[in-house]
Amino acid sequence: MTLAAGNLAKTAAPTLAHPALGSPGEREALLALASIAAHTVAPLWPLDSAIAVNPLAGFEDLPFEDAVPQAAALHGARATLSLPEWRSLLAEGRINDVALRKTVVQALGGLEAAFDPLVPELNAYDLLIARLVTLDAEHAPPVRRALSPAVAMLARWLGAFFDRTAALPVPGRARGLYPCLLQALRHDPALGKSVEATGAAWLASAPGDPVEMLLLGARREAVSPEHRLAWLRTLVATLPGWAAHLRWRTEYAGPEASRGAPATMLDLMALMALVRGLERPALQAVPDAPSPRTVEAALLRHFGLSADAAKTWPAAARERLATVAALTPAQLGFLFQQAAEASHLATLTAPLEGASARRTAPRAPIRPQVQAVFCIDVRSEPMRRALEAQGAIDGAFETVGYAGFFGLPIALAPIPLAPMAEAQARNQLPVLLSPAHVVPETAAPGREAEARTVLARQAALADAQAMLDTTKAGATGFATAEAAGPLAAVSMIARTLAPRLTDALRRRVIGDAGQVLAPAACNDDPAIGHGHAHDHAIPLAQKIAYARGMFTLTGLSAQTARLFVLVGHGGCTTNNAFAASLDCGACGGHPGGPNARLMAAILNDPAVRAGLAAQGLALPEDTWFLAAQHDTTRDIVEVFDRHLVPASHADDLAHLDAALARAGVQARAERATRLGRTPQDLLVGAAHWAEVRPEWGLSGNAAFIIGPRALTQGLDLGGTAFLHSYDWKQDEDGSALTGIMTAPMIVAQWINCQYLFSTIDNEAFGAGDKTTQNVTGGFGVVQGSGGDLCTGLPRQSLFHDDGTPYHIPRRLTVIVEAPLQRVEGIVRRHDAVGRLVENGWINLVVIDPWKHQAHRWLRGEWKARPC
Amino acid sequence: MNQTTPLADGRRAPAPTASRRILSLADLPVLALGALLATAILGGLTAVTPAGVALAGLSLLITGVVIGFARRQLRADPRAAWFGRMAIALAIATVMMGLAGNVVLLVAAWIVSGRLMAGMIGHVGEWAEARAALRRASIAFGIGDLALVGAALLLSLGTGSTQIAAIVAAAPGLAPDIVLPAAALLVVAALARCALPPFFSWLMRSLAAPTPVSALMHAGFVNAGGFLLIRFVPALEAAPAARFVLFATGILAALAGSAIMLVRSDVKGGLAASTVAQMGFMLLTIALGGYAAALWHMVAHGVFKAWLFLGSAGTVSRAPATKALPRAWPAGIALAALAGGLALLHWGPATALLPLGLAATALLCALAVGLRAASRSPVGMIVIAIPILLIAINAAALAFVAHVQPDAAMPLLSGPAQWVLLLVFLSVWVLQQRVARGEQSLPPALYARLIHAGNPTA
Repeated sequence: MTLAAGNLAKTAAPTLAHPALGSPGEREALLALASIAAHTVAPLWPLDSAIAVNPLAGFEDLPFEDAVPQAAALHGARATLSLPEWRSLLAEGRINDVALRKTVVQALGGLEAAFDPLVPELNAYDLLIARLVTLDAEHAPPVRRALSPAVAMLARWLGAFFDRTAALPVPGRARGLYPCLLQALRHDPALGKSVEATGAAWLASAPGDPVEMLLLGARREAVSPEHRLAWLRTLVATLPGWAAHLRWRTEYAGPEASRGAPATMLDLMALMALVRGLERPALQAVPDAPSPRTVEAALLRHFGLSADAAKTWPAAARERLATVAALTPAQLGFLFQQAAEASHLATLTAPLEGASARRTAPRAPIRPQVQAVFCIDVRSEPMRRALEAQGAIDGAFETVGYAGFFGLPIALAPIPLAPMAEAQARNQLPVLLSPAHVVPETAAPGREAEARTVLARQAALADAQAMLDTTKAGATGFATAEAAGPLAAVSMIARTLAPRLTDALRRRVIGDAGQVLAPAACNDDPAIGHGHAHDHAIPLAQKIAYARGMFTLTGLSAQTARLFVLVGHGGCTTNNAFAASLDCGACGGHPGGPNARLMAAILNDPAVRAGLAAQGLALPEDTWFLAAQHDTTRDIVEVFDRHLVPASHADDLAHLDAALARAGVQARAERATRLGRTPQDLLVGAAHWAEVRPEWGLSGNAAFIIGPRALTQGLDLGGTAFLHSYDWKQDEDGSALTGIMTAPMIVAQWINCQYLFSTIDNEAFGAGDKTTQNVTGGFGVVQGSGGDLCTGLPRQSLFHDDGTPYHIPRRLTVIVEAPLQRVEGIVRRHDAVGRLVENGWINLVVIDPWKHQAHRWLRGEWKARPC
Repeated sequence: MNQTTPLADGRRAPAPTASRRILSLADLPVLALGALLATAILGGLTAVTPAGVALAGLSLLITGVVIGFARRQLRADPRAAWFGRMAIALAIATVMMGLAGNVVLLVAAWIVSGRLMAGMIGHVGEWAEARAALRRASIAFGIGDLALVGAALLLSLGTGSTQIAAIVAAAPGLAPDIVLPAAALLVVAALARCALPPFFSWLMRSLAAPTPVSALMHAGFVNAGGFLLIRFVPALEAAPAARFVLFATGILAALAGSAIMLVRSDVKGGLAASTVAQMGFMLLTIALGGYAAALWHMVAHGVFKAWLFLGSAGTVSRAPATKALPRAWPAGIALAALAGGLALLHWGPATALLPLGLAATALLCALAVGLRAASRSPVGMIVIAIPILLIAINAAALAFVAHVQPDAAMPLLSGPAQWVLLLVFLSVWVLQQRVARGEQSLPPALYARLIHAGNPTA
């Protein structure tokens, strides 16, 4: 994930325009700093493959409580919810009173320090509780940062430069971001009008080399070498959204994303340095936080004392008062956040410890009727619980949690609609990995004729769209608008009045591509490769390894049920720029059905089964693997390739179908309650073009539980937990746990932090109100008529209709059932994990599998009481 | 069965409000407006004209759809109820304007609808961009309102009546020093409302409003300018100078709007620029005397634009859209359309040579794209049929409108001059196709002007 300095310097060919500027040493130093500063923002994926990332990923080297205020200051954001917001969460009972008190005591340094009277009848605990809960506090809502005129103009140019659907690219785009926009700004009459003479001279004299521009900018602002990193970070954070898009483009996107328009972060920083020289620095409005002295007086008044009462106190008592009064709003909010985390953990530890103890009791091994592997996604939990409840006896329906890409590192190459068209492969795996195989999509076996029909219809639809696109611009647009008007009227009325009927009709007309097209599992047929450069054949040994991986990581036994379902997931929504954020993050922000189908095909392959048996994993002959996709918006599970199911399993399938339908009704009803709507309305919302909150997505996520399902079975986790199946007994060398903690757990932490920061400041770290969003460049949204690219999630995904947060900002609590030493070893050996744990970006709790007691990792050691 | 223990901390579901009050104090102004409309209708202060019915019908259709849309989309918006009231009030005002038989009523409805729309543009009151857009819109509408009041005064005093029927009947006989300023003021009012230069920046900045507001604005509100001119068309025809100003501004807006649309990377910005162009085209058609064509354009474009705005959140896509025809095609199509135009001129007089020529171009263009589809599969034949069908529907609708709304007795331009106008439009179109194909680039300074068009620069 590091940005190579060489990459940065691509456009930084030294020129002789300003020979005086920058000794080679100074240039080198600046380049090194620039590559660090580039990490001020996290990469931002385009919305068609939305990936949740921690917007503060560049600050993970710092402890959470230090990093957040720092980043907030840099981005002009809030560091926490406002006190009134936290108080309303407390009043609603979503934060536990006891947990808050314990947190306060802990923050004050223990019982003695908290309750030691400062003066009779007054102690530090009372003071802090008063500050948290009762003293007047201002509600400061997040504010959208206003851009200065020159920065707003630059943002417009950046939008035009990065546009990937542009009718008309910015002139000189191929020369790269800095040279192209430098040229553009020089020719910009609006900019020329708005800047003063010194600004105009600055623009005219700007060097053509971005490094020189940066050196010149640093010199102009008299930035000393030790302050250069901070200065560069400020440059990156001027338009953090566009910078984040650029990070994705340079580090994660394929070369095709920047073809014809190269750009580096150095270019962007240089442009910011240039623009800063064009206008007088605006006066930064500093929010006036109440001074500690005022707070002290207010506290004393609250307890019926005069403002100068403390003068007569002993020094130690005065100091305690001063300490409490000096706590910033960010620090107070952080206390609330810790209390919220503790509240949640308190509900989990006792049941999990109990379940861990019960698990050791000998149990008659029964072979489940059906096994279902779901994604670890928090939205699987209600559905798993509902499905398990459908079994005739306990354990008849067993569910397992595994990363939703089923361990298949693939990219999927869709069938191109037109013979000459080039269809881009889409990555169906976590962004931490890169695809090992490009798998072509092909007609599902046995449904070739239907597939041809569907493809023909899709092509026709694409042609109709091309017709509209070609004729709607320019002079023909006047006639096109008229001609399309009646059609638009029908569509508009239908989508508003009868959304479900319209959706059903649309599906009917286009055909069910999701069913009849599938990733090619077997590559004996040369016809299925459509001229892709990659070799899409997955070697048998690899297939066996992927199949085995699922058993190793989840601790599944080889005694599989007769019917074994692999359930991917995807959302269901229309007219939604954030549709992909409802899909499977483990599948690169796409629906997980294709991965499930490929995995099922692999597991049904006799050669794979033989290979597994040879490795000591002999699955029963009568196990059939089935693929399905869980529609998380409607809680409908769609089963794929039913026609391939052997006749011997027809009854099992019928039984499963009925159970899935019942489970879906139950899960939907449960989710409808959380959304404050009727289950019926969820079905309407999925098809309605005005729906801004088809589902809660991963809102509410708070825990990541690594252990067997028996640990959580019977608990209603309310869709707040990622569940990864794991059996410590079958993982002697700890490699499976290492795999889980270094990949899915990290992804869950990214998701958790995206939701957390999008909630804390929805304007700076989130995407704001959906109704004023404006899709730009085909890949992102801006607010209103332009400005910075929005990062994070929209407000409607996180907040109730009345504006109170649905998602409570809480760091991810990772709960593992495993030997303490094993977990400790992983934390110490793997920096990616250790950094998060030691710096408090996640809370790590381990349940000792022998004593069945929860331990929390706190500052380098285990602490027996988790909260 | 499993025993489940609820642990979730999801907040209890908000209790459904037991009884929603049917009416509140805030509804009173809307009710008053409704009562006023009812009184006007019952009191015989209304007049039914094709333009008025078209405007009122369009407004009711769009308002119905937008309110249905907004009930869901604005559910988390504290001002959702306020929006609903404003939308209904705007619809009532627009219907009143469309059906007004009296110039006082028309002017009042015009001013009220402008205030309502300005308020809706400032929907997100705590956002500086929205406040700036509100200010900009208020200024533009204020100028338009003053112009309309001036025109109404001149016409009423000049003809001695406030009845629109009487005014338009007497307008051709008015002295030039009354009718020319009156027509010019009508044109100014229409330009302000239709967001044509020099007023177009209010529309370009109005994107700070939620999507449903944009749909109302682009589909119904801006069209009132076209309606106004058609309603007072005898006054306009009596002042050829005003007509020429309208004509020139229309061409400018049509070209500039199309050009801005080419460089905008944001969907809503592109749509707003396109509205400027479309309104330019509509007013240009009115200047030429093609009232039926302008009226049909007003309705069809209104619906089309509302549809695009409401669906604008679904435009995230991976692939760049095909926006240009293959190389030699545009020139060929343009030549064919021009030849057709010549033939039409031979046939007889045509006030709507430009719209017809452009419709033919669009059809040929669509067929050229569809040709690929047809060659691939039988389903592709349906694709070919779509534009033909749509153009046929279009022609039928136009014929119907022409039946109720006569065109100008005197076209502004002679047949050959109209043909030259078509030539100009098609030449620009061929050039635009070249640009879109990347064969021609715009001068950087022009590109910069287009990209900032309508936006604050300082």
